[in-house]
Amino acid sequence: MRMWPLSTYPRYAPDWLDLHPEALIGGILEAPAAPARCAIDNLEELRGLPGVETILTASEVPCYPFTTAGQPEPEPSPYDTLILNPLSRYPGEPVALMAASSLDALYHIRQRAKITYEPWYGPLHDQHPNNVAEAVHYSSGPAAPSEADSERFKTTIHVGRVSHMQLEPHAAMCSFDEENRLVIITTTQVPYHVRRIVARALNCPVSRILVKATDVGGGFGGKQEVIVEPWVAILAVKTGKPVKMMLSRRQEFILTRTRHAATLTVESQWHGRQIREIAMSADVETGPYASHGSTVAHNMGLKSLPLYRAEAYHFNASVRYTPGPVAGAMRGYGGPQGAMAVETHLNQVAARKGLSPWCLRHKVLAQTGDALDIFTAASSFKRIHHTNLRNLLSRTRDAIGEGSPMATGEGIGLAMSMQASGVPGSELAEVSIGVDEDGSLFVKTGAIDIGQGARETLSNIIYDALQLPRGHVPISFSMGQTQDFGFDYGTYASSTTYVSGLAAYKAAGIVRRKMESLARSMMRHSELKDTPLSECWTALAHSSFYGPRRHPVMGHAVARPSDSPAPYAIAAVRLTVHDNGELVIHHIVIGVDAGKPINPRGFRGQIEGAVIQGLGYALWEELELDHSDTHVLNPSLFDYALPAPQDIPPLDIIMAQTEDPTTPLGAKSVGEVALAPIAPAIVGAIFRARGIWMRTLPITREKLWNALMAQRETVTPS
Amino acid sequence: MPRLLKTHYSAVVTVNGHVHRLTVPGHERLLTTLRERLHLFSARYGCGTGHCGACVVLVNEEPVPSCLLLTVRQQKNRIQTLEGLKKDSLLAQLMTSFAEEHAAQCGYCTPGLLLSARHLLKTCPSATESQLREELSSHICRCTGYYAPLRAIAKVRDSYAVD
Amino acid sequence: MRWIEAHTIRQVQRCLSANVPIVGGGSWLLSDGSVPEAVCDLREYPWAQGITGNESGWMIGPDVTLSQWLQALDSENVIAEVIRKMGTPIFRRVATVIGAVANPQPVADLYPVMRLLGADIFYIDLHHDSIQHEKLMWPFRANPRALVGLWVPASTPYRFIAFRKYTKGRLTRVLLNLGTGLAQQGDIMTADFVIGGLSQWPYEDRVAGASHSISHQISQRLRNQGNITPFYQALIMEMCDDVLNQWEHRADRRSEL
Repeated sequence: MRMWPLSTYPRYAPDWLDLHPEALIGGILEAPAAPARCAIDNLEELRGLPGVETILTASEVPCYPFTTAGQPEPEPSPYDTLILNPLSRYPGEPVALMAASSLDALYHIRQRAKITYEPWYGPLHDQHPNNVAEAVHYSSGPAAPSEADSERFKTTIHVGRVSHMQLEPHAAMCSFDEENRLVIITTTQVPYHVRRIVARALNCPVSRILVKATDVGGGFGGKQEVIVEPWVAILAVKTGKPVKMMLSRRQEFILTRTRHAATLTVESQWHGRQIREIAMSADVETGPYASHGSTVAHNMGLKSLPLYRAEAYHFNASVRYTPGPVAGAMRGYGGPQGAMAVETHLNQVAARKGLSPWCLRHKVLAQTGDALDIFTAASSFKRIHHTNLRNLLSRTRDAIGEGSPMATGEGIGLAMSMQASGVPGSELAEVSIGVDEDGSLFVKTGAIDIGQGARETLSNIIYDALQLPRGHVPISFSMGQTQDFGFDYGTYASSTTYVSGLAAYKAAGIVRRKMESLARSMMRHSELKDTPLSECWTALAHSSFYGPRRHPVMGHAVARPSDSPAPYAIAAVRLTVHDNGELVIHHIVIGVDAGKPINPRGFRGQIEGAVIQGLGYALWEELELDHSDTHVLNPSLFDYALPAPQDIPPLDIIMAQTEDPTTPLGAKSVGEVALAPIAPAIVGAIFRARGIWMRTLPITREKLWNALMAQRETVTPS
Repeated sequence: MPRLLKTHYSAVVTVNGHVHRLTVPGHERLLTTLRERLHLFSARYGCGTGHCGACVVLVNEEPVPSCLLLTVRQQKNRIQTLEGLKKDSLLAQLMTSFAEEHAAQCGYCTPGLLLSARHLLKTCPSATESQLREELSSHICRCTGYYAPLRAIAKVRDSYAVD
Repeated sequence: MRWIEAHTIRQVQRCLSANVPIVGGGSWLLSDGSVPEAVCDLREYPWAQGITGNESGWMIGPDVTLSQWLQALDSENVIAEVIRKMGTPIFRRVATVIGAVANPQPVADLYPVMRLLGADIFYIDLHHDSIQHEKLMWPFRANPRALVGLWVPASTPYRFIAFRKYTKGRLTRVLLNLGTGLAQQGDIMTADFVIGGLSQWPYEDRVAGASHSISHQISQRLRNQGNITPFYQALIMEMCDDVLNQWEHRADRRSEL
């Protein structure tokens, strides 16, 4: 049962904002063009308008560079942004922050503001004259293998920008507590990173800031970014009053984050049915601020290449500063782009070799024990593959009906993907569990339930570790309240079950041992009959507060796993491509190896949701830019196409019956893995249906029709 | 341009059976009134243009986007939000079914989905799968891919039809 | 914001001369923070209210929503087919018919079929002291006017009218639409078509001839238009062929409308 998200009591950040009519309303004056130096010509006039409390421009706010990417220190993302940047680098970027007593007052400022701009033709960041934020080169295996008897293949694909389109917009409020600390109520996946990043931007100690994370109305990585929080914080500091801000849907599209657009090339050299060498090069557009750019780029290679066995691997990426909206973390985190490239490449190789894509993968899939960290130095910890996917591959093939007769224009496509369970070697989670006097439990964690079912998952882990029947006693959660402790790097990288779950498991183990010890000592003194713990749990809890051996029971544990096992997904899609370019998906089968499901309904929900986001990525979704690649052309739901209920195809999920050996829970992660293989599986199916390769996402009807026409013209020249 | 004199209006709105006498700006949308004045949080902002369905409430028993309605125009209407349907047995069945199917992931779109589902099953108890999908197309659910909500509603429809 | 409920021609004219926007069922003009000084609401204008239908046609008042008209129509009716393809159920419950006609985007869903049916709009402008009417036509004249009614005659010269549309996603903006009216006299078939989405305003044309030549003729006309992408040409031809096909399958059974 997952009843609590049906509650209508205030629990989202926008609800808390609306409960505070006394707070000033924050807003932004947006840059009309970029890159440009913008100026407000009538600032003093605007400041005099009724209801206006303050208008802050770049010269009036602290200038401590930071990154909006919510990641632990040492932060891999460059500090290339300020609260307000004197050079506006994308249209819509704040030129000024403002606070007023009403939305109407903000509206009047926007109406009357005279913003002029001087276009900027130089590099987006002085330190990067070529607009290259980072160049990455990795290599492993023997250099330049012999080329005598080998075949070479090459594939290039392009993927566009998409928007998270989480339903709840970014919203935050900053007020003060009795100690004059800043209290930030916000909808975030990373409460502790919010605290640290705001502290950095304001140059104040983290202890001056309390973050109260609310329930999150959809994250998908968009709330792993610290966007609104520094703005409300500086407005509150400058006005000395509480300030709240919620972005509009249009602003969500233009000034939050997107998935990275990229052009990827995969080249491979084969000896028969073995890969000698496979190389990926990625040209990644990170937008005008790097944010997660370099880590997302890394993951394009690291989440796709290790699926296959090769003698040598190479990965090059160029992370480029580009005009237009800022890219950031988004479900899949490089995986969808990488899978689109590598899986399409393998499907092309299979076609060229006259093999089925299934058969080729049986040959080249990594084996149990093969390296996952293909580029890591031999001396450091190296993750390995713990499962052999060949059985799951066969089951998926059978379920999609490969080999059964196909109608004209019908085809089946296959693609695979892998993800991680937390950021390898960079995770920390702390969980405290207390037993209350009625036997109920309270759990403090920095993990957030962003819809994935963290509460049910952690609850199940705790019940199981306590050896109590699930649901035996109520559990209440404090999630992401920095004043409650429960440090956590945050809810991203599919880490909650594997990392925070492990901390919960350990903490519950401590609670169990303490309760058992209390029970033993009570039995020795004949205060308790010898009964199973579950039967005397409430009595024990009560006596831990009021009995002769009173000592409230609490368990605290930390997880910082060095491993991060990979979950895998195998997508098979059956579809028909009609002559008019219309594409009909008949059936999707997704084989998933994510270890043991701890919360089966939530597990299924994660796969279903990811598959449909993957379908949107493949067929409809695209944040379109104008001819100068700067302005977003479709910043509304009237123009940004999403999958509708009528578009949802039949979906079957096949589960690998595995348990992960690296954790006592047996569970890996399932939040992201099912998204990435959908697009390349569709591309593969279109090829098998029609003999054409669609190399650019999304595959719209128009693109498909054009490709079909081009093919017809080539085949029958007139 | 000189401000026209009258910008605020007295509005009498009936929400969940309670009559509220309010003074609101002429442009205030019902969504704002419900949330900021009456603290009914089941109606939620998602887009402000009627495309996402997060702000759906019942006006005279029909689900409509409250972000497109102006409060001053609601004098004659009977407005209900999810909060006002606590005793509705069909809604209770739907909520239980949603909870069992894990159909609310983040939960932000869920009140809207519930109101539309209830409306469909009330007006068309044996709604087909395609009618169900058409009705849900009023709502964007980014988390579930619609699978779990569709299962949850179909489950209630099937038991409802038997009753 | 000031709210003006106009009940007389004079009141409406005052709004028109002050450039006060007229609101339909929803409040799209208020989206994303914009707040006009005043708006004029005609939904209670005491001239035509609700849906009045008789054997000669429909009169649609400014208060009628798309979903109300949909419910009043026979589900086989082509207007019902058009409305069912417009937006989502919740959207159809707030958007008014008059609003959809009065604020047409370059591609408007109701326009092609209303045009083929010879719909009349009733309006108030600054030059007349009575309610005027004329055939619905694009582009509207430049002088401001406020629509207070839509008249859709029941009789039509066509035996069959059909509507098709193309969008990027299922629920996004219409990019291309086609309304076709087919008539037949002896062996001669006439096809009138209205296509939205090709240029600033809908393209209208008529072809006539033997039924098997219709498709070819339309294709010729489109080619002569120029500036139509091959994809849109193919899309329109597919829509036309689909309509003609549907017509042939229905022709022997009964005459439409």
